[in-house]
Order: sequence, then structure tokens, then C-alpha cells
Amino acid sequence: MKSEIIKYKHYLLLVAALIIINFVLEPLWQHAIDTQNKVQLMQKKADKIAGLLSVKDGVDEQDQLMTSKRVSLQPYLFPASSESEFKLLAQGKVESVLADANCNIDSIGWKSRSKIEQSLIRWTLEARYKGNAECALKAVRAFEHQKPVINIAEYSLAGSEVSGNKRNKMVIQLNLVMWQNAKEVSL
Amino acid sequence: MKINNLIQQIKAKDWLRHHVAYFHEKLFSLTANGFAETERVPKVIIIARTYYTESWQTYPSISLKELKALLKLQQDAKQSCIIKKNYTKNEQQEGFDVKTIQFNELISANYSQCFLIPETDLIAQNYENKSVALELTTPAGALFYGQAEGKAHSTYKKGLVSSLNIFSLSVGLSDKALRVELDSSQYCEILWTTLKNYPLSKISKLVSSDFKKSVNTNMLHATYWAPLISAALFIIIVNGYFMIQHSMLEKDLSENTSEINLLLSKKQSIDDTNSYVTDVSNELTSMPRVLSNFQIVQEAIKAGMDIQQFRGDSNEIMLRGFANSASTVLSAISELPELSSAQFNGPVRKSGKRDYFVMTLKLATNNEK
Repeated sequence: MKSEIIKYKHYLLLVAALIIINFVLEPLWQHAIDTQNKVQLMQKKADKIAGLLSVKDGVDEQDQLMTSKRVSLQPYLFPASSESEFKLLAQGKVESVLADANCNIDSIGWKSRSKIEQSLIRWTLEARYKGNAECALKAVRAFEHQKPVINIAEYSLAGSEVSGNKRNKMVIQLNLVMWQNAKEVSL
Repeated sequence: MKINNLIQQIKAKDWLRHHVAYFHEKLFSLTANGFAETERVPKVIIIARTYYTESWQTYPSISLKELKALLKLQQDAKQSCIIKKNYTKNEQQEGFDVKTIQFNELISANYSQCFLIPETDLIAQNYENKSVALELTTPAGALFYGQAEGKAHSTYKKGLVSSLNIFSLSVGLSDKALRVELDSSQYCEILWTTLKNYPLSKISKLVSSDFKKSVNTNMLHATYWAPLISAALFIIIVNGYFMIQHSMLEKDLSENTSEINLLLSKKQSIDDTNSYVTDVSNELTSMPRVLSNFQIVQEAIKAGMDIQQFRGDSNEIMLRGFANSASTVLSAISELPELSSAQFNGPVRKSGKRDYFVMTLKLATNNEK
């Protein structure tokens, strides 16, 4: 066996070199290139992280500012996590405004619902009631000064005479728009 | 200029002179002035005729493959001396003529690591297939050389072979064969010129050597193992360097992971909140107040209109009712800055003495005001 190995030692040396190149050096070289690419990517990631950490204070300030803006907007929206809760709250508010303005409610009905954002829903409500000029003005003024906001999208006042006269009875129809904050829960 | 000179020198092969010598008892370098004694053992040695024997043998009816096998067997049997065999095809015998040159033991023992050239082979290359008879003054004495029809004969001037004519007669050269006499320096120059101009691709036919001794196999293996080991070391170092960098960066990144996640979630929350605030603001300001529209209606009543219906939205108002003069009401209303346009919607009808009409009023935008 030993003599055989000695006889073919030159061939064996050459084959060993080829095996080392093919099965050791080539994969090692590929590994080096792969690792280099990984290192480059990680370096970029590290640079980005360093950049992000350097603006950490700015991010905190911005977060506080945005949180305060969000909080300041909450009084203008109806806080209700569910549809039934919102409808109860909003309808109650509309009825109380109309009652305070001495208007006689004919009907109140929900017309449409559209989701503006994950937690922001726009609702349209149609209120039909009767009343004199004082009722009409008082109700419109009260709606437009409500918190949470109740906007008047469309309105219609009809009667034998629509004037400033307190004795004139009118049929009034308002399309009111309100916004539900679905993330919040009313207290 | 220096580079040009260098290139010219390389082309002229003058550098080869230092690696070539002639051997007879001593080594002689081939200078421009003739043979000059030298101590240095060069890589290529032209051997004087006295140190080798020449023999011719014909192998009839044999294929090239069989001949090669036969010559290999003969070569293996005579390991002690350096032997060189050249064969040429013999068409008449349907076989091969084999010329065997066997160097003596002195040469085989002392110069086995060198490339050996029999001097008669070199002379034969100079005169190719011409019929010639030469008298050459070599360091070993006067040498007669003759060649004709592919076969060469040579012997030193001694005994009965005392002149070129006798030599020619003895080897059967015709009278027409070219007769040349060369002195020592001319012979030296011819040897050098022939060797210099000999094509490198055919050098194996001219040169004989003991391959195992003349070539250092370890050095041969080193020619590829050395770069291989260097490349391996380089690749290992490169791998190590990148792996260290990789682990360092990984450590850095893992240290900051929680902080970064928090920061990224904050950034996401900021973006979400910003989008939410923008949406809510746009929604809340999308509808203008309508209470001011009642002021416009008041102006219409003042202008003498009895309104039966008043409806509208954020863009326009519709008024329906009676007036003594619809035109008076329209002209009074048109002057209001809150309106961008005012017009009758349909015909103005007479109801008794009064006008019955419908008006559409377009509200002015902030820019129009």
C-alpha cells in the first residue's frame, strides 16, 4: 500500500491540490463573498440605526406634539366604541338640542355611514321637525356650536310663510353630519 | 531606450550563452572568439562525440504504437546510462529507423541533471538534409562528419582515417557531397548559431536528459502548491476578517434592538397620529357654517319676498315664494357680497298681482369674497 502511494505520489499531490481548490477554497471564497455582502447590509442597517438614535429626542418631541394634537381633537368627536353606543349618544344630543329650542320632532333617522379612517366614522342623520322661526334659528345656532361637532350638510325650511314672525309654523328638515371616534369609549 | 535594448538582447538570445557549454574533459563556453574554458556547470551541455555512441537499427513491419512500447521497454532496461532514441519512418521496410545515442557513464553520472546535446545532432541540424563532408576542429581533436540520405557518420581523425577524402570514401559519400573544413572558432560559431536558431517547439528531439534528475519534482509541485497555499491563507484571513466584523455588527445591532423597536413603533405611531389628525381636521372643516345663510334670507324678506320654502347646503341656497316684483328682490339679493350669483330657477309666474318664482343663489367662496 505504502509503495503504491509512493509510486503515485505526484498524481496524488496534483489531485489533492485540485480537491482542495474545488471543495475547500472555492466554497470558502463564496462564503467570504456572502459574509461580505451580509456585513455591508448590516453596516447600512447599523448606520440607519445610528441615524435614528441621533434623532431620538426629536422623535419624542414629535410624539408628544402629535399626542397633544390628537387629544385636543377628541372633544369634537363622539367617543363611542360601538355603533349602538354612538347612535344613542348622538341622537340624544340632537333631541336635546331640538327640545331646548322648543321644536316638535317629527322624525329622526340615520341616513349614511362612511369609514374615513380606522377609528373615524362619519355619520349622517336626518332630523325632521316643526317649529317657528325662533325654533329654527335656535336649533341651527345650537347645532353649529355643539361640542362634539354637529355640522349641517343640508337644510330645508318650508311653510305658508317663512319669515321672522314667531307665529309662523314651519316644517324643517336638517341633514346633520357627526363623527364617531371608534377608539374611545364614552365616560 | 534601456527597455528597447533589453528587448533586443532578449530577442538576440545572447543571454543563452551563459547557459550553454561544450564538454570535452573540461567545460568550454561558446564565446564569440571560440571555445573558452569555464568552471561553471550550465544547464545545457553540448557533448563531444567521444562521450557517446551512435547506432542505427531498423524495425520493419511495426506500427508506431508498438515501436513506442518497445523503445520504452528498452529505456527501462538500461537505467544506468542516459539514452536518446530518435525514429524516422522507413517506407521501404514499412517500419521505422531508430537512431540510438547512448552517453557514457562519465556523462551520465556527472551531468545527469543537465540537458545534453550530442554535437553531431547539432551539426546535422545546421546542414539539414544536404550531402556534406565536414572536417571540424573541436576541443577533442579533428572530427570528420558526413551525412547523406538521412544517415550521418562521424569519427575522429586517427589511424587510417587521416583525411576527409578517406573518411568520405569509407562512409560511401559521393564526390558531389559538399566538403567543408572549419577551424575551432568557426565550429564554435556554427554550434552557437544552430542552437540559437533552433525552434523551441522541437527542442525535445535534440536534447536528452535524465528527467528525474534534471527536473526537481518538488519544485514543480511547488509551482502550484505555493500559490494554492497563499490563496488559502488569503481566503482564510478574509473570511476571518469578515466574520469578526459580522459578529461585531450583530452584537451592536442586538444591543440596540429593543430601543430601536420602541423608536420605530413611536415613529409609526407619529405617522398614524399625523394621518388621523389631518383626516379629522379636513373632515371637521369640510362643511362651512350655514347660520350666516339666514342673513341672506333676511335680506330677501326685507326686499319684499314672502318665502314659502328655503333650503340649501354649503354651496347654494334655493328660495321659493311670492313678491310684488321678483326683479326687485333679485337685484337686491344680487348685491350681497356673500353670493357669487343669483338667478331665477324657471319662469316667474303671475299669481294675481304678485310674482311667484324660485331663485337659486350661489354662495361665494372665501376667495370670491
